[in-house]
Amino acid sequence: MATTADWRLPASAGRGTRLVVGIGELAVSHSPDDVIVTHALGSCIAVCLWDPVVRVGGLLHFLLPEAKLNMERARKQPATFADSGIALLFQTAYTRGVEKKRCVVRLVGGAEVTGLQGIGALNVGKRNLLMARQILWQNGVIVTGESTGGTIPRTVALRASDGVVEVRSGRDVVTHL
Amino acid sequence: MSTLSSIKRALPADLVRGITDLAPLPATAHRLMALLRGEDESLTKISALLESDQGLVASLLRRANSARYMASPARNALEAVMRVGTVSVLDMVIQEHLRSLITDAPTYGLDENDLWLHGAAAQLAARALRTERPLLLIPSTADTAALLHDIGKLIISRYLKVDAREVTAYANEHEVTWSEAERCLIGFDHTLIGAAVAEHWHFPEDVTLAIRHHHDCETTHDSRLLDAVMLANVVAKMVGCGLGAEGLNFGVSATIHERLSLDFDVFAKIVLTTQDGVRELASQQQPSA
Repeated sequence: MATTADWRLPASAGRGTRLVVGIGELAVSHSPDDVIVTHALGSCIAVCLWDPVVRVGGLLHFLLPEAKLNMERARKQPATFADSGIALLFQTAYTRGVEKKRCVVRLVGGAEVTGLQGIGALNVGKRNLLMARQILWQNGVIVTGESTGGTIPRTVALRASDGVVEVRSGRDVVTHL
Repeated sequence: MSTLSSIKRALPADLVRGITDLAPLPATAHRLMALLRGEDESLTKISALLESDQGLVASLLRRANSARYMASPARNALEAVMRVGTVSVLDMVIQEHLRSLITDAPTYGLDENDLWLHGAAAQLAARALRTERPLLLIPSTADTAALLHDIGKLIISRYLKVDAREVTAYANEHEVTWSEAERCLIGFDHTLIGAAVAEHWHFPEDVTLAIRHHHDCETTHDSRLLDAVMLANVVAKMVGCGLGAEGLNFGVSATIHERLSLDFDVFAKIVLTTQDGVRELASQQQPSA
């Protein structure tokens, strides 16, 4: 579990590490055997980034759309929010040789409570998804795949070796992006 | 007719036995509830009862002497109770009791820790809501109701062998919520069983009602406590606690934000406060080095 001081997991040094990213955290790996995993995606979004040339993968699991909701938290744990978190994900990836124009980006999550669909005041999933798409689009990053919306919980695994994003929902349902 | 009495005839015998045989709440909890109801109870006597549980007293003193309560250190259970308040003590007693009861709930795709943490997160969310919206005068027992709101899942998982995949498939195929799928497949849902447990444990009526109706989209009950529990359940799921097989496929009253005077900023604040609390809980659960 991250604290205010370790909002970012260290990039992997060893081989075959399973990096588990919690809510409000991110991880970037340049080790081909690493898998970056995040569990319990409901209304949160996982932004999965991969550069096929340098084979670096990164995953951000953010909770809420905008840092302005709590600037103090955004300063201490930027990965909590879409805007501060996505910026940090890319900045961290650049230090590993990633180039924006080569990035393959997938979005996962953004589910909504059945009974709250259409209730603007509480639509976290939809707000998260729109914010992520908007930030990426404004920065010229194309989203190449999505498993978003609905009401299902999701678990995501990003393989650093080939950039495959595996999305699990329940015990049996697996999709690849 | 009481909830438990009225449903007894409709339930499998094992399930009824599961409810009635459930370990009773500790005497301390009943005394604290009586105190909260305004009955003639002595805080000194309750503190003496607490003293018999050293683990609980240690937790109580830890909380009473935490940074949140800036004062000279509490030295015994009585001082600690006076410092943190009877509701917090009641919540601690019930939390300890729940911990001793909770097992995996495979019917809901939840393991032991998921189920416990979901209740604990909902309790934190209810507390955060009360802090953000003091003028609504939400009763402090909302925290207790939030902690217990999914207790029915424990009983159903213990006594009925229902596959989570079957319920999920039904809900998807018929485009209904998980609770509706439960009712269609097994004849009742976890809210009904949870209410029966609350009644068996002699919780106040408003707590039982909140457990019973926390997925009732069409509820006509004008209860801020019920609204708080509904919202607390949403927030607990949003911070990733207890998503299970149900995920976010559950009912909530569509006007809850109006009744609780919530806009998105306040809602987000409650979510962040809850997440902080969940982290603290998780760090306490980790074995020390």
